[in-house]
Amino acid sequence: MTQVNWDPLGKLLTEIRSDAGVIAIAGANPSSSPARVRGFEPAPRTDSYDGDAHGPGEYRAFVVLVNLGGQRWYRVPIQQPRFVARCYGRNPAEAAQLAAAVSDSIHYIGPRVATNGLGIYASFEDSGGEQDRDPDTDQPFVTIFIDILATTQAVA
Amino acid sequence: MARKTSSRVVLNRSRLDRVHLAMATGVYQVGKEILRATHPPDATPWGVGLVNNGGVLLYRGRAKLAGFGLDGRQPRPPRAARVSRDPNLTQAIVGYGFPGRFQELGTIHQRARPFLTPAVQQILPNAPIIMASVVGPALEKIP
Repeated sequence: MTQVNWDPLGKLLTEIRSDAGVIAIAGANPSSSPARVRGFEPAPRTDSYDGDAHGPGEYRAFVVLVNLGGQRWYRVPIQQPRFVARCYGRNPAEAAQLAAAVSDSIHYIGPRVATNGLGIYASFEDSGGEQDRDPDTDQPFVTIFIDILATTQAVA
Repeated sequence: MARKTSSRVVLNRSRLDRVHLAMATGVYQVGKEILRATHPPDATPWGVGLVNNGGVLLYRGRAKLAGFGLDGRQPRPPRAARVSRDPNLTQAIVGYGFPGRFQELGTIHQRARPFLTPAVQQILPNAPIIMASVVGPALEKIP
């Protein structure tokens, strides 16, 4: 086995971005390809993109995935990281729909291998979701938690 | 005619409450250890921090058994927390008050700075050891 980047975030982003249900919400209004599924923080405003975060009346749907940390097993090359997915919508209903789509794209998915060889044995999202509003922009969002069982070494 | 030998164990229900209480004490101790393992991100005023009021609440059914706050006061139960009515269920709530949630999970303009989840994941594998140190002596006192 060879050493790889442990972080399964890239693989999760790819999987969630390619889900049809997620694309229908986070890839629309306005149209975006790939879908607005971000790692760590929302996409900032740049010369070519006006950013994910907008004020009331200009909200757009997007997802932010953050690694909350996880335990590495003592003897075997396995880790159990937990991710939070903040699913923002133009209104609370769309945020809930987006959270459900993200959950569907990742929940109870079996073994697969990332392009760098990192093995993901299973991923689960059974938190149920929790609604809230962003304290700065007041945009509605739903928080869900994703648990991963992955390797810390390349398996393929 | 002699009675047959039986291996039946009779459950002494009068002692069950004390067993449950001993187990609850162990769960409470795990909650405290999680709280001690957290390192909330500091903010102005420095040293006091934006998030500083953590606590543990222990319930048996809907009855509160104990509470512990880092500031020495009894923490209030979070609004979102739902405690089961099952009287045989011991539940512990560990967490920090507002705005700990936004520090932990992040907002649109603030990056997530998780401090509670890493502590939970650090302590939980050791929960049996932590509980044993508290529950064992308590069980030994039960006649």
